[in-house]
This record gives sequence, structure tokens and C-alpha cells, in this order.
Amino acid sequence: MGPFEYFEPETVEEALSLLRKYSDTAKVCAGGTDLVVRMRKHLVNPQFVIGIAGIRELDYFRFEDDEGLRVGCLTNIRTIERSPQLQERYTMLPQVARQFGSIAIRNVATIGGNLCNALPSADMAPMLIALSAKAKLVSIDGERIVPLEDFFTGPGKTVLRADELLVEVRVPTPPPHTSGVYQKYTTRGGEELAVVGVATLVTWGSKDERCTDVRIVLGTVVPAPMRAKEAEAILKGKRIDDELIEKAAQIAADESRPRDSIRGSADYRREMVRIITRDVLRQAFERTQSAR
Amino acid sequence: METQYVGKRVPRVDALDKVTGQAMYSVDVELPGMLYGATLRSPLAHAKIVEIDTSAALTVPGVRAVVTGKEFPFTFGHMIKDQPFLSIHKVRYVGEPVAAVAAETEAAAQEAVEKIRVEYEELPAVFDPRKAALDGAPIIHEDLGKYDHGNVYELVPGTNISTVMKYSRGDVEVGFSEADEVFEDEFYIHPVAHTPMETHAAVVQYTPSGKMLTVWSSADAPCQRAKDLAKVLSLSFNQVRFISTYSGGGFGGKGAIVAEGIGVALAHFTKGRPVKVIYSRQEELTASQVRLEAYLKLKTGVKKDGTLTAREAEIIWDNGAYSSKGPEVARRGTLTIFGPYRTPHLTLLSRLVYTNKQPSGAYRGFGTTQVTWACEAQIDIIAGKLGIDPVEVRLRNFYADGDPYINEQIMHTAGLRETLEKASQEIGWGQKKPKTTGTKVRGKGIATTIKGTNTPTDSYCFIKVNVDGSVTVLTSSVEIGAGQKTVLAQIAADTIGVPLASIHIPNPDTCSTPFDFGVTSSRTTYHMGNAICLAGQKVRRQILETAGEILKTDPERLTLREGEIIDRDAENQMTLKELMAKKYGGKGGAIQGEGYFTPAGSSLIKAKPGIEWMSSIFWMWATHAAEVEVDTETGVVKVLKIAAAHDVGRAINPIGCEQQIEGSVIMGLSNTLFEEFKMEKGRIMNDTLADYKVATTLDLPEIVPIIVESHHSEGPFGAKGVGEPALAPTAPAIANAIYDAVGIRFKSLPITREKVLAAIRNRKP
Repeated sequence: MGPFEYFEPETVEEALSLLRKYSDTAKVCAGGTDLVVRMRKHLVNPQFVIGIAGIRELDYFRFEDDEGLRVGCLTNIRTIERSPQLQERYTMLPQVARQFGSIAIRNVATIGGNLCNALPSADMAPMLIALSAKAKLVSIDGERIVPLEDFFTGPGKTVLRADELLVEVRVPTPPPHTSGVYQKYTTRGGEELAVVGVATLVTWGSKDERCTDVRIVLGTVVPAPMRAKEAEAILKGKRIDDELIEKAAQIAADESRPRDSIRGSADYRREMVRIITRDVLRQAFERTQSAR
Repeated sequence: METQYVGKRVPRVDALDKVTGQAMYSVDVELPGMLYGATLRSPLAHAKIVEIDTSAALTVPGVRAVVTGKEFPFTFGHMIKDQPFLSIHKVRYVGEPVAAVAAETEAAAQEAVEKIRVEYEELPAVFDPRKAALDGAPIIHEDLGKYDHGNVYELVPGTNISTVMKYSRGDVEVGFSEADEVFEDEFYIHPVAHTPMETHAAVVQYTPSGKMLTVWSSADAPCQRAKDLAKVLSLSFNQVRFISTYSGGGFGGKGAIVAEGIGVALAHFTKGRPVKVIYSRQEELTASQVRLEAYLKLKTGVKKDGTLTAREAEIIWDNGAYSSKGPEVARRGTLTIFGPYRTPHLTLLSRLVYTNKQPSGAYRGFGTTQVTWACEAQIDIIAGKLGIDPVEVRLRNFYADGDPYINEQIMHTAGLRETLEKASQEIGWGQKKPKTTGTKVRGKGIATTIKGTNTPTDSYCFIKVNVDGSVTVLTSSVEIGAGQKTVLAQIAADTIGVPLASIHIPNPDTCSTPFDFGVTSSRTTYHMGNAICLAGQKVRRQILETAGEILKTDPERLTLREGEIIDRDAENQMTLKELMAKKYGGKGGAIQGEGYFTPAGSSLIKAKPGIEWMSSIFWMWATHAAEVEVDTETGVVKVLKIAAAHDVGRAINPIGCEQQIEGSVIMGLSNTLFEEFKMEKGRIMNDTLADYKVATTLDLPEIVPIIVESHHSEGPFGAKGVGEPALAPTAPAIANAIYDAVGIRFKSLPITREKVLAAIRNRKP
């Protein structure tokens, strides 16, 4: 790790003025589970590190009746995993959190850090995109709200400017009869990076047997988390049977863009996209049906 | 003989120290004035060093020494002296140490290393040992012919071939002509990392005034390392002192000079200040040593009834850039390619070949793991083709007591059949398969192994019965993590007749503990156990004689049990503590005895003259039976159960034996299904434990360790060994089970899910 100067702001304003001052030469550190590893390997060599973990006002989640859930960027993954309220109202988020890293990592890794690092394998991203979540980005000049679907631009890349901080994630309340499932495919048991990650969110019509809305979001096998819109299209508004699920899964696999890497060949990963998509769709449909 | 401890489930004597964090490992050694070392490593697989500029490194505050091969132009090598401490003129693998820095802090050392500039002239490199063995391949060691080497290793100067081993018995052509079927198969087994929890580390101090080199490390054979270092540095043996720490896992990986070498080079330039060198996990994975990869061709003739008539084996071993223990793996470790089977005609050609890769060395099994993979997969192929049950084919050819081994040694304590019977019974061999539902298909497989120990090798020990009746056992056997101290203490306690708790076995120190060949070759229980028996009997005799004097009775009437001296008629009795106080309480004193054990001269190892070295004082036998479930949609192989039966002679500590077996099964499963180096131009791309996949607890099957006891006539309390062979049959047992499940024969390791899925897709309908 190279030498760097470290700041520990106590307020958002303080953090923002540091970001404005140091811009590209600074890195924000929340839980540090990604950044510290990357600094040790000299993959990033910031001159300044802004540790925001002390800004306690950013560690929260609350429900706003008309706008759904708001999660502060410093909320750690373990909190999401263990919250009875989230389990009750956003079951799919604890279901994602349980598959994230190890308990030790979940205790320090934050939702904001996971999104801002923007690894294609970031576990929180696909389900939040499926839920149409938005990110609140602030700078000294003001704030803007960006749908997470438009937030990621490539591996490690987002629309976040060097002087901006992602402070909050807003998640609309899912419609009734909706269920979501995220599953990652890994090459061994235990703490593992996703080789394939697929989130699906299914909404069932209240009157008939049709699927009124569906989201399929791919992680890892794309440069940035991405909706498999063609696969979604053939399910939306249809009566769902296994044949249709198989077809959608194949289309999602065709939409994915995996690369050959040390973690798996592109062909194998594409095949696993098909299988995981099929499995999460089946589970999501079963859940919505049993809930009705 | 009735025992208090031997054969009992005794908890580890080192457990409390370890779980409370008090056990000292090599990384824990802290000395006054200690500096920290860091290493600059080659980014190229094969290159000439044109120039090294260390000037910028020397300006970093806190730097005390910067050393290259120019300042410290020495080489080492236990079998072939081919490895520089720091590169001399050229580099031969990515990760080779080129320069080293000693500084006041780790950060300063690291910063300085990054400031060393090296100019290289890249040379063509070769990574496949089959290609490296061909004429015209880039030559990796131009001076091979000039290297000092053990005279049993046949080098081929002017090539990359560092050891050739040929052996024939009978006439294979006759054997093949007698066969009804001849099978020819080629197998591959990949290199894997030892991945000990404790990476390589050492603290080294060189005091120029007294010319004393002291090394703190968890090396598995401190006396061998001291001997090697003394020789290459022109010091006498008593000027090199290895102080052993506890070890966080060896598996063969601690069987060479690794971190010690960097420390030794640096310590010569720090004016007496000690230097600590700790390998990072990345260095451990890329620049320590790995298991030798091997290409194995096996041709086998069989009669219709499954009787083997002849076997012909040709093996190419990958030595990597430097030899470590590769030459002995290619020479002796290679022999069990013929398996635990009587074969009248056989021939073997084994060649060890340099490549531009990380050095290969000892790895649990010492070659047996590699050759068993080929041998046992082919036995299943044979069984399938002949339509004979794989268990039955093995039983028809197994060695039994009295059979001649390949060098005419007469086999003894062959508990092989019993291991096969028990393991196959436990797995439910021959039972009807459950009906397949969905995409998951089950299958069962079996594999056996034979493993010997390097013979003859020597062990010495020294036992002191102290003035208060406590006992100190001095040995150079390292507690590598397998329970050596516990087993040796159990043997000492029962032999002398004292409580286990009264025995202390300090970690070795080559200045004061007597010679031992090393914790290697599954030999410690047998060899050091026997030495302790001999020394223990001596001190026991002296204790009883002294008691006879004091109690004014015939020592023959006395016995010592659990520290109590009792008369045959139970009239007189006293404790050992009382005896020692009475005899030595005033001016002090101790009862002492030494034990020297060597199997040399035992009638058990007699064989054909000239090739007695192929004999083993004990043979270890094992059978693993595996049940797997293959997901035909994903290629995922889930191992459901492994029953592992091992003939250990006698289990001195059944818990320890079970742990060795369980640990081996885990290791075997991990390197069969998960572990694999991904390389690009000689660079290991997966150099972290996130990407070098070692199985986790969630990947493990039910493991049933089964202990078979054949009672060795010359072993301590009948014991043999268990450390190495426990790994060898796991891979072929899993592969044979996969074949049983989906009809696909894997001849190349690892068996990754991608390979399985591809093979299922390509399967003829």
C-alpha cells in the first residue's frame, strides 16, 4: 500500500468539501472491504482517503409511506440481512444479503460501498435494479436522483462524479403479489464471489393468472448489472408455465455477455445464466402463487 | 503389553497452547534489533539479468541492507545443488527471488524493493515438461553437468532432464504376449499448492564474530536443513543452528529451504541483526513449491480372469525451475506406479524435467499420490472392459504376506485386503443404485494404494528423568501439526511407566536435540517412536535399579507404572518423585538414556542385491470408497460420502489417525475437484485464496475413517504410519465413482465442473 493522507469527516458537508477539494486524487472509504484490498495490491493508489464511517447520520433505514424504503449509504449488509422489518416488507433484500461475502465481511461492508465500487459481481445491485431503486447523489452544489439502472456504466465505473457522494438508496414499495429471488452461482461452498448472479422480481395479476410485471437482472456476466429485457418481454402479461420459463431463461443467457476469465469460461457461464435464471424464475413464481 | 496411553484416544498435548494462542510459530518470533525482509521477484519466466540498480532502494529511510546474487553468489539444493538464494545471472521462473531488502520496518523494506530496477533480456521459456524434454527446447540450466548432486540421481547434461530412473523386472514382452487384453492409457495429474495456514516464514541471525548462523523456522527436517546450509556456506554443522517453532502445516511444503533462504542471504549483511522474512499468501502460492505435475503412460496386460501379466510405465515429471526433492520423487516415489498388485513382468522409465515454473517438491504422498491416480483409474478401466467387479479385480492381484515386492522384498503386514473389505462394505458396494430423479445421477468408486517409507533412515532421541520425576524427551522431530508430540509422548509414557502429563517434549533445536532424518515419509511414529522405546527402556531399567538399591530389593521384583514403583508383592512402594528426591535431592542429578533407531540390517528389508533401496521397512495400505452425485445439467460433482480404510499397523492415538485420514480426504477432494493453477506465460493468475479454490467445509462429504491394525512386528507397539498414503486414493476413487455415475472416464485432473459438463454434452447418445 502506498502512502496516503487520511481524513475522517464527521458530517456530510465536511466530506463533500473534502471531495470537492481533492476530487480524483481522493477515494471514499466506508467499510473498506473492497478499497483496502485494492490499495494493498496497488490497483488504486489514492493520495487522500476520506473515511466516512464516522458520519453516523448516514447509517439508517426507514420507511416513507408514499415513497417506500430509504437506506442510508453506511447501512451494513448484516443489518439488512437481520432486520425483521425488512424481512417483513422487503423479503428479497435480506435474501440477497445472506449470500453476500461472509458474516465478518457483511458486518463492515456497506450498501453504498458495494454499489459505488461497481464490480460486475456486486451482489446488492441486481435486486435493487429489479426493485427500480434510485440513488441519491449529493455534492456541494446540490443533489440528484439517479435510477440504479442508469447508475452503472462499466466494470468499476458509475455516473458518480469525483466530487459526489452516494448518500441514500430509495426503494419503491413493491406492488402486491410480488416476490423476488436472487441467486448466485459460485464454484465452491461458503464465502465466494459470484460467477453468475441473477435477480428476478415477479408481480402476479390480482384477478387472473397472468404475470403483470417481471424483472430479470443479470450480474457478473455483464460489464455492469443489466436487465435482460428480451427475456422479461416474453413473460410479461403471459400465463406462466415451465416451457415459457425455460424459453425466457435461454433468452436471458443469450442476452448475457460473459467473458472468459480465470473464474470460468464464457460458454460455461452463459449456460449457468440459463440454469440460474430458470431456477430463480421458478422460485419467484412459486412464491407469488403460494402467497396469493 | 497393557498400556495406559498407547492405543487410547488421548487429546493433543499441544492443543491448549494452540487454542489459547500461546504456541509460537515462525511468524511470532521477535528478537531484539530484528529487521524485516522483503523480496523482489522476477516478472519473467526465463531471462538474463543484464543489470540491477539498487541505488534508489538504498536511499529509503530505515533500509539496512540490499542484497542481490552478485553480493551473495551461493546456491543450494538438497538433492541437486541448482538453486540460487538470489538469482545469479538469470531468472528461471516468475516469482524467483532476484533481490532482497532488510529494513527497520516491513513498509520500508517493501518500499525499497519497489525501487530496485532490473534490466532483463528475455529468453524463450518452456512450461510443458514433455516439450522441455525434447531436443531443441530452451535449456534452463546450462551448467547442469557441473552441479553437485546425489550420486543416485542420473542427470543428462545439455538437456533439461535432471533425473532418469529406469527399472525392469522379468520381461514385459513375454508378459504382454501372455495377456488376453492389453490396455494403454495416458493420464495427467496437475500441480497443486500445499496451502498451509502458516505461510513460509523464518527469522535468521548471522553473527560474524562467532560465525554462527541461527534460523528459526517451522521446517519439517531441521537437521537436514542445517546440514545443507552448513555445506553450501562452508560452515561446520555446529555453526548452523535450526530452532524449530510450531508449524502451521507442512504437507511436504516445509521440506525445503524457502523463506529461510532469503533470510540467510540478508542476515549476512546486517551486522549481526536478525532478519524476519514472512511469505505473503501470494508468495506462498506462486514462489514456494508445488506438487510435481506428471504425465503418466501406463500399459497393462491382463488375463481374462483379471490377473495382471505385465505393466509398462513411462512418466514425465515436472521439476519446475529448481529441484527441491523432485529427484527423489522421480526415483523412489515413482515405483508404486505398479500399485499394490503382484505383477511378474514390469518396466519403468521415469524422467524429471526442468520447466520455467515454480519449483516442485515434496507433497503429501511423495509421488504416490500422482502414480496412484494413474494406476487405480486404469484398474477400473480394466475391470469395466473385462466385466469383472472392480473390487474383485483388485482382490485377485493384491499383495499378501509372503509375496515378493518388485525388488523381491518379502511383503509383510499386508492389511490391504481388510481395508478393501471394510471400505467397500461401508460405502454399500454392490447395492442397487437409487433411481435417478431429475438431473442428478449417483455412482460409487473405489481405489487402493500402497506407500512405503524411505528406508533406511535414522532417528535418535535422548530422555532425561529430572530430579523431580518429570521427564524431558529431546528429539529433532518437529510437531508439524499432525500430532507428533502427542504420539511420541504416549510412547514415552507407556515405555517408561510414567504419567503422560509428566512428559515434556520441547521443540527441536539442532544445537541440543539429537539427529533425526525429519518429519517426512510418514516415518516419525515408527522411527522416532522406536528410538523413544529404546531410550525409555534404558531409563526405566535405571530407575528400577536405583529403586532396588534404595528399597534394598531385587530390581527384578519391581515395576514402574504411572510414576509408581511397586514391588511384586506390593510390600514396598514409592513414587518416582520420591525416588528421585532421595537419590538426587541433595546435589541434583538425573537419570538419562539415549535411543538410536535405524531399520538398517532388519531382515524385513532384505531384497535383491543392488536394489535393496526399493524396500520399505513398513508398507502402508489403504482403500477409499466414494459415492458421488453428478448434476448432468451443471457438471457439479457432489461427493456424498468417502469411506477411507487405512492399515496403520497399530493406532497409537486413534484420534490422531482419524484426523490424518479425514484431513487427507478433504485435501484429496479439494485438489481433485477444485484446486488448479491458472497460468499465462508462466505467471500464476489466481494468486489469492479467493481465486485458488480450496474446498470449504460446505463442500465436504460424510467422511468415515476406518482404522485397520495389522501389527508390525518391529514397529513401536506395532505401529506403522498414516500421514501420506491417506491422500493418494481419494482422486481415483472420486473419478471411478463419476464413471460409475455418468459413464465418463476422466484421465486428467482436476475434474472441474466445466470439464464434466463438456464431457456430458459430448457423450455419444
